[in-house]
Amino acid sequence: MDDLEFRKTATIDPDNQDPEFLKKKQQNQYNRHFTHEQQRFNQKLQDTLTIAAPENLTDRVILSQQLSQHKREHLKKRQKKWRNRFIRSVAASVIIAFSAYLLIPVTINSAQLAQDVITHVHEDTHALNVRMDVPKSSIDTMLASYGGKLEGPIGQVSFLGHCIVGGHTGIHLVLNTAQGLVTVILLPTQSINQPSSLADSQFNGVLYPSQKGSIAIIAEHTKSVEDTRQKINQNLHWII
Amino acid sequence: MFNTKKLTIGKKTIEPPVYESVSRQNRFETLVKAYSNDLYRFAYWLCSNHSIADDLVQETFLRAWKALDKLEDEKKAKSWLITILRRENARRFERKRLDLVNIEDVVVEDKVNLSPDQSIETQQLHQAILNLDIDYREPLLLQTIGGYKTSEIAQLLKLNLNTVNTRLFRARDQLKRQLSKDRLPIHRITT
Repeated sequence: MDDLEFRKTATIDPDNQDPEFLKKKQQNQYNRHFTHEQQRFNQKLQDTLTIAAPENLTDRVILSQQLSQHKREHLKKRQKKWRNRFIRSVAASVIIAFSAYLLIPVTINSAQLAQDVITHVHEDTHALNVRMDVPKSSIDTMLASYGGKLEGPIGQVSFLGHCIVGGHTGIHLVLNTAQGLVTVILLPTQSINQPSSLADSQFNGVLYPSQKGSIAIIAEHTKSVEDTRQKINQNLHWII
Repeated sequence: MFNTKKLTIGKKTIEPPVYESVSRQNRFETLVKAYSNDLYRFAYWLCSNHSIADDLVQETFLRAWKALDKLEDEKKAKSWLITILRRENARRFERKRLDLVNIEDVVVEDKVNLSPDQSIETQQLHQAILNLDIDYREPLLLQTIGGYKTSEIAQLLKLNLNTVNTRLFRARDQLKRQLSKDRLPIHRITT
């Protein structure tokens, strides 16, 4: 270690315990004196820098932390409370909306529904191919699930089933009449404002508002549509 | 010292929440008691204002409380707290830059709040330290108040070791020069 290095080290850190530094320090009187001077200056520096901290600083820091913690917990509780309230209200809204969806018949555009009915009849080929004699008890049971009741005969039913038209469930019946097969679709949960006629290259029919929801009657011959309509109107009643 | 007993249920290890919060609080209070005075000194010599130093210490510990779980090694607590305090001080300057005020509305506080029982030489040294450029003052504070070795200061300030040594040397050199320059005014003050 040269003299310059020694003086630099002694200035920066006079208490340095590096053996080379200690050896150099003991080399002569000047080095000892220089190191001692630096130690004295360091002590002075230390004394000046060691200012007194406010007496109650520790207590105030802890108090401030506890208040902040309390505030955070309070805020968290409030947020949780509001979050729970929000979740509950959303859940309630969903339940109400769903119940309304189930209970209240939806009023939609009749032309659109008429199109959906025709499409359904074309797609559900099975219904027109089945040749069964569905007992009245089965018809009564299915009608009862929607709150409907037959007060009199509507003719021979060759098919009975649930169906979905335009996103809503209904009852799909096929009547075997003298003029041929007639499809009757009861849509108790789909209301329409006005009747609409159905017609394409194969079928004719009518979609009309009912006491509950709507009814569609489709057949190849217009006359059988009208006859079936009269029978249905006379004998089908909705009690709910 | 700060570890809490953990419960093991099946494959899950659960720390009891009550014990955990008590332990966390104890751990925090131990840190405050051990380091608040040193942090206050460090803050004061950084910002040269007692009230701001007080705020800096409060803010530092609030941040430390929020991030306490990140402190894994208690031996590093002091460096960790000093790093937080330095960041807080830097934020103070960022905020200051944003808050533009009319200079005439600002009451300029005395740089040095000296007590009457301090010797003239101590008062001069006090002022000389505050006059040091922050680049020189900060390593000096870390060495003298923090008790850090030069290598540790280099790590804390993210500086080269030679740079730290140079700054420490120059800081002391400037203080000595300032003190010898101030010797004449001592007579003016005392007479």
